[in-house]
Amino acid sequence: MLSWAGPVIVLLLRWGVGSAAAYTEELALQQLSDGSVLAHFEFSAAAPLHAEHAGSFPAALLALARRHGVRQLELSLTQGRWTWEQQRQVAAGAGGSAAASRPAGLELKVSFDGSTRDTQAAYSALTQALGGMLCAGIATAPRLAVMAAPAVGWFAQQQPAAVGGGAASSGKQRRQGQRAQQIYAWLPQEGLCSENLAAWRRLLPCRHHAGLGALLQPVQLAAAPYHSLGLQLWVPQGAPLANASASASSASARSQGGQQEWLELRQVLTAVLPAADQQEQQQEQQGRGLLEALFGSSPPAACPAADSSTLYLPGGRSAAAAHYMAKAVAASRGACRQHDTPAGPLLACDIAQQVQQAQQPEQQQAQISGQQQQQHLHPPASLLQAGQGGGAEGGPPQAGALHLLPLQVVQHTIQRGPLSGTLVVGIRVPAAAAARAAAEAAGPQLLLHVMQLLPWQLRVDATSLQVLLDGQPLHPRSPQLVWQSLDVRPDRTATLELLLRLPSTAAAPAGSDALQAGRWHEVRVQVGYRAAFVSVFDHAPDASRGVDIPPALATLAPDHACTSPSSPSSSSGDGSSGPAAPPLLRRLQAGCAPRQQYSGSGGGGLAPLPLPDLSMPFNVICFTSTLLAILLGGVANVVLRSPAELAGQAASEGGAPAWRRKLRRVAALLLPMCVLAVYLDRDLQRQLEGWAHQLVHVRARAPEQHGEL
Amino acid sequence: MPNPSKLQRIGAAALWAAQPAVWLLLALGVTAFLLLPLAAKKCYLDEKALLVGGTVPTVRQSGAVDACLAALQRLQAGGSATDFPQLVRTAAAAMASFASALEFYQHNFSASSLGDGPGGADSSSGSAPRQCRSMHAVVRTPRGDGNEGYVLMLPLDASRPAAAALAAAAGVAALGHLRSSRWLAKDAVLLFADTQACGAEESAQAWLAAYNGAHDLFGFPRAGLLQQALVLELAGPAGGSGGGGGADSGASSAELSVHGGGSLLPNLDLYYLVKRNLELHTTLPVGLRASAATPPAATWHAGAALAAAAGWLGLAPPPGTQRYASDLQTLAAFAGQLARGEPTGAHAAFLAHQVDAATLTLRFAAAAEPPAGRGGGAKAAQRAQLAAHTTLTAMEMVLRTFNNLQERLHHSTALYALVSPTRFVSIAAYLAPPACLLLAALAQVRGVWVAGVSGVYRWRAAQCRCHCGRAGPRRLPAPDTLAGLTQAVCLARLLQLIVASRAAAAAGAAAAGGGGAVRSAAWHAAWRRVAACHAVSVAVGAVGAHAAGGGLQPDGGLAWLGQQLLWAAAVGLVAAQGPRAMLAALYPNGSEGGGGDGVVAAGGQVQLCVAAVGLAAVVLRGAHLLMGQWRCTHPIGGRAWYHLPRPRARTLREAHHSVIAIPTIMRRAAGALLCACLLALAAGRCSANPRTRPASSPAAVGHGRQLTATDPYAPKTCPTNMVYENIYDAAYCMKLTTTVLAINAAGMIDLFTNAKLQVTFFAMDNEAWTTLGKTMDPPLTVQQILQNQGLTVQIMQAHMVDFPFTTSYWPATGTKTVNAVLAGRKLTLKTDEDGNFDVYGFMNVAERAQDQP
Repeated sequence: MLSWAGPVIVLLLRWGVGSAAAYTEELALQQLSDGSVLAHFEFSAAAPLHAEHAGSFPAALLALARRHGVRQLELSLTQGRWTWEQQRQVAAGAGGSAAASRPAGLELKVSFDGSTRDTQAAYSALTQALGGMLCAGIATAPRLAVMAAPAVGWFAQQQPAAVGGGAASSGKQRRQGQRAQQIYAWLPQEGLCSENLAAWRRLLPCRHHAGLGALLQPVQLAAAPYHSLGLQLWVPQGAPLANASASASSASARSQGGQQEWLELRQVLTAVLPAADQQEQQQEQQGRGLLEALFGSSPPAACPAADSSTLYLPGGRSAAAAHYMAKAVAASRGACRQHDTPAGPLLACDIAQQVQQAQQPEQQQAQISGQQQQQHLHPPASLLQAGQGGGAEGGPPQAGALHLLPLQVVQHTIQRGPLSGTLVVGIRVPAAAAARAAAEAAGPQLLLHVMQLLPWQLRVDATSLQVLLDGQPLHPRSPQLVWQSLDVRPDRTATLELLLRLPSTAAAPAGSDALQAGRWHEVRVQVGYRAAFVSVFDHAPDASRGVDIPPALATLAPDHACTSPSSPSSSSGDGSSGPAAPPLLRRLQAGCAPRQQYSGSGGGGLAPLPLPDLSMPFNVICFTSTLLAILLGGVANVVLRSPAELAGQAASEGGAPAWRRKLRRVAALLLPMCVLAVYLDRDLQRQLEGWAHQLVHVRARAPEQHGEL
Repeated sequence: MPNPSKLQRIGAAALWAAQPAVWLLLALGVTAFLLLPLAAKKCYLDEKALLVGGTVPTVRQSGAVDACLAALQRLQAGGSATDFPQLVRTAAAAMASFASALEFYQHNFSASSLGDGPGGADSSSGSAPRQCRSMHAVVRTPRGDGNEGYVLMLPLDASRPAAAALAAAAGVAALGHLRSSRWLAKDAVLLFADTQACGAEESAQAWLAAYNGAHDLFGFPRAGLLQQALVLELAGPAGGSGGGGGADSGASSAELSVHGGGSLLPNLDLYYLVKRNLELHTTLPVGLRASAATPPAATWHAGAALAAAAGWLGLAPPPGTQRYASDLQTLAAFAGQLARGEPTGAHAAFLAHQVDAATLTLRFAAAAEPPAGRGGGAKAAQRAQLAAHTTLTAMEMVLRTFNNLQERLHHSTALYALVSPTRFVSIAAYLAPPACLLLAALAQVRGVWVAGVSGVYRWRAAQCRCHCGRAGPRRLPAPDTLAGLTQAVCLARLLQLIVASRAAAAAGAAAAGGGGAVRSAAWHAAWRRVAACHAVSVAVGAVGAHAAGGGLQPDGGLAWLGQQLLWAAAVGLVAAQGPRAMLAALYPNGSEGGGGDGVVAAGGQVQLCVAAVGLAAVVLRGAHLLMGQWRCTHPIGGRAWYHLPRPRARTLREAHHSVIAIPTIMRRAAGALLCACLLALAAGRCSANPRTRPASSPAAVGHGRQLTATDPYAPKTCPTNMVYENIYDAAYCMKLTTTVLAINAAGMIDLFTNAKLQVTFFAMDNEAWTTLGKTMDPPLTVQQILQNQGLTVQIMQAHMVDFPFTTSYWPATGTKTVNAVLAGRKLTLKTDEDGNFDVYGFMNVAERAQDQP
């Protein structure tokens, strides 16, 4: 079946190349100290927002963005977590710094443009559609998830410096204007399955038939300790698409008008592949290629729709590694080029070119044996180990790039009994490295944006908010605190946002190790909460587990907008400067990209909720029924029966019949009971409001539920 | 008019009948306690997800036992290591190849309490704080979210080198084994506690305080919310703990203890899962430590005598008589330990932090002092191997069982009394003796009450006869009415006291956390609550008194009500302003945010003060009411507000009619209102509306940057009543079951019934189709499955009707069953470009249009 489907798809894709879309594939590999390998896939596509033909861009996503006015969207489905050591190694690595850890479960960030009037309706339709596309329960997010509309600084593409940079004036306007248009949702119960991967892969032009997407094996990913897939969709403001400028298609697009809006899509998959066992390592020594050793399959055929398919490997700093890399670069006949990044040298190999060379006429095979050809054309497995010394040792980066800073974020829940607690968020940045990064970003100071959401079941005490910077409490008037926002509306996800200006410290000498020096900027945010006694409908399915607290998100950014290098500085073997670099490479080469980090490996984010001991239904029912009978029966007896009846001398003569008297008494008892039940039970109130809403459209909107904005 | 002599007889009869009833109930209670062992049930695992017995131990295959033995040999060869950290690190270094790169965090703390530790006798001579240590490491689950964890605690007493070496080696080996295990779903914490200087419970308390606090936020390894804990003590055999030569005499055994401080018990599932794991995977006999102290021999003889008596009475079969005596003794020891509220192990510290925990003591000969004689080498090696294997097996299986459940233990009960290691008495049975005692007390109170009422009635009648005799005999309210009214007023006063104390607590807490404006707002809220509650209670009393015949004169009743309300306002004002004035006097500077602990302490004093004021108000008002009952001639303010009804009727029956003639409707409405108010007050609900924090609050202002801090819960901080909560959720118990069961099917139903969706896809990949076909009888290919319309309907049902509880009808509120709906639907199959049968299309738009004309 696949025998005929492949050519058909290739033909279709070649037709799609001619349309107005650009598509690149990138894969960054980095070996961690425990032997595991970080693999970060990025598939970038772009298309005019109002194009008639999407080409290789997923038409459904294009239609969604058009219909609902989506300006920015980030969706991730994650299984597993990174430890702090892994985070530090990945952040310091040359190729892996583009990969950021995501919180487990489903995370969705959406920003609508101003034309979207009913954000809730648009969000509902969007989640339904995304759920269908990815086979995920995104549509259940409004009911179960933590949802909020934070102000700024939580999109990966967004520059918090630009947003919060001037602090007050522009920041306030943007906060007020964007709050209603941005939605953040987190659903920890949503698992990541192979179904999601299959659906996610269907959005690729070549699916799993060709290109880097063919490397993804569901079984291998399911066994990985961490893997995360996601969609990132956004409409860039003003600037034309960089990677589309190289393609022929972009020329036609620009010719249609310089003001045409583009829609960029980035499909991201990050996985930590476990360390290979001894047997596989022996096989690697026998000459298997790197991709084959890692993914178990030979390098795939090139995807015709892709402008480039690039593999990034960290370059070693040692002389032996450099010599080895130079040899590998020469062996791959120009397919590999070396770039300089703030984290060190980076080897970029064009997989598509290598595959084409491998598929060249067979007369070359007479000269070189197949195995040698494979060995020379494709990066060997040992190349990854040779480049391990780049940033994986935990040392400081050579340059003070922001995204290389080891930003440690810890979240800890202090339980003060079953009903209350304190949430503590700690953020630590090496002081000298931060100063150096700020200096290299041409700014005096760094801004730190902290966002913490708390589910509505935890009622935050706004007066207990305390912010400490380097052990000193910060008052609202403190100059270090640019602004703070705490939204604790009832029955809504509480949102805590802070924007801090880290104090400027004298930059450390170039050779000093900021991490080892032990000087840190430490920010601690703590806020008290009280666990609500929620009704049974509002508990999660596993009510005895507690309620998950979303991880804290910290973003480190310069206090002003900085520009990324427009063209890559190539130091390849031939020295020629090629076309515009792929987006991942551009980000790796940038020095002032904001650093975003979720909390992890702390005390955990789980808060127990007060829960009646439902394990003893018999006892509970007995006790409560007895108590109810004593309370209600006694009170009703006293107030509803006449003294004569209490004395056993019922009035028999005259008056209403006995059944009518009893009926009146029952009605007199039931009425206050019903009123009391409605007064006590929020669900009943909501139901009544819903009925009233259906009967008489008194309210413009249906009654709100938990989890809504 | 009722006959006083008749009332006197009634009172005497009540008193006379109450005393035999009290004695009868007391005897019944004692008998019920003696019969409790007969009502014991066999322990069982209520939480099936624990999967006890579902796996086999793998510590030998993974090499953990060998590593443990190697480390044990090295520790024993190195001599008696008395340093606690050195002991652990040596064990870790000895098995570096098995458990590499282990990172232990050492927590140092000082204990100032005396006499807690094993060396308490020595250390208690001085009051200097002892320096204690604990070391722990966390094994991270590779794929979990790290939000939950469990603890294995190993007390190490370096003064007992054999047991300490075994514990250290086994603990580190277990750590290495856990790191290599793939089944780890929750983070595991291994905690070594130095019990040479401090007690195990003290160490656990200190460690938990550091864990649950903000101690070393970045360096202290944590494992999320701790759900279960096991304290594993290794000791020598019970028979040979005294000397070295006795090590061979005692047999290996296991002992479990569950009592925590304050009579806290872990979930019964936790106790039984440990016991069951030991029974399944080790050869150790498992005992129960029912009491910290050995029961006196007299109890044994008493139990034996009772057993003989029970056997003689035929209550227990003859073979079970001895067991009855043993059970009764164990039950008495267990219940006595519960009554004392003293813990029986270090697990009590975990129980105090809502972590289900138990202490397991494993007694091995290898854990005793090494024998002094020669020639015991091979035997000692065998003993060490047995001890290492058993210990590691117990660790692995118990921790693996903990690992299987990602939530708190909640299925079984935490209210039980064990009569033997395998049998327990549930609360449904052991409540009978206290219920009898409670009923006896109630009978006594009732007798006194009736006697008191009749006495008051007679006194009042006599007073009226004396002072009001000019107008002839007066009508009197019935005793039942009087009693009911007094009960209602007392109940209202009690609720008032509760509300006052709650308001004071909330105000104290709010005042402690905020500045002057916050304190002012909190005290105003408290004042409003106290005043409102007092006004309501007084109004209830006034209306009740009015209805009971005290205020047939309209002006008198209204004036009395007004007076009561004024009095209520005065009391409320005193309750609110008095403590505030006291607070201001205590802290004259009253700086914002500078109160610190002093303000917190003042909050406690304020609470006590308000409680005292409320209690005084209740006592005063009770005395006032009581005085008013028989004060018929002494006016208050020149006029007697408590009037007896006018002499319209001559008999009690007529008096009742006259009383209820006028205010019936009002009285019943007031009764309904009273009912609602009482329940609302009991529920602890406030009617405070959300408010915006005042701009003067320090948290709300900063350089003109507006802080959107709306805190509606600050004035609404009335703690919910736990009684109410139990009532409330018991009513929804069944609904919870429904919801939990339906939660998986609900998403699918929502998708298939959502009118906004044009097409709903039901996707199964090729492997699933193929697997499904193979399970058919006979096996079918994918094509055959898809061609069979009935079979596809069955597949839909298999996915949707897993829970027929909710999906018997589709939609849930509809009238068609799932079978009827699916049978009439058009099922469409779609394939992708590759021809894979991966999408099962399901059109529902047209059908919806047909269903909704």
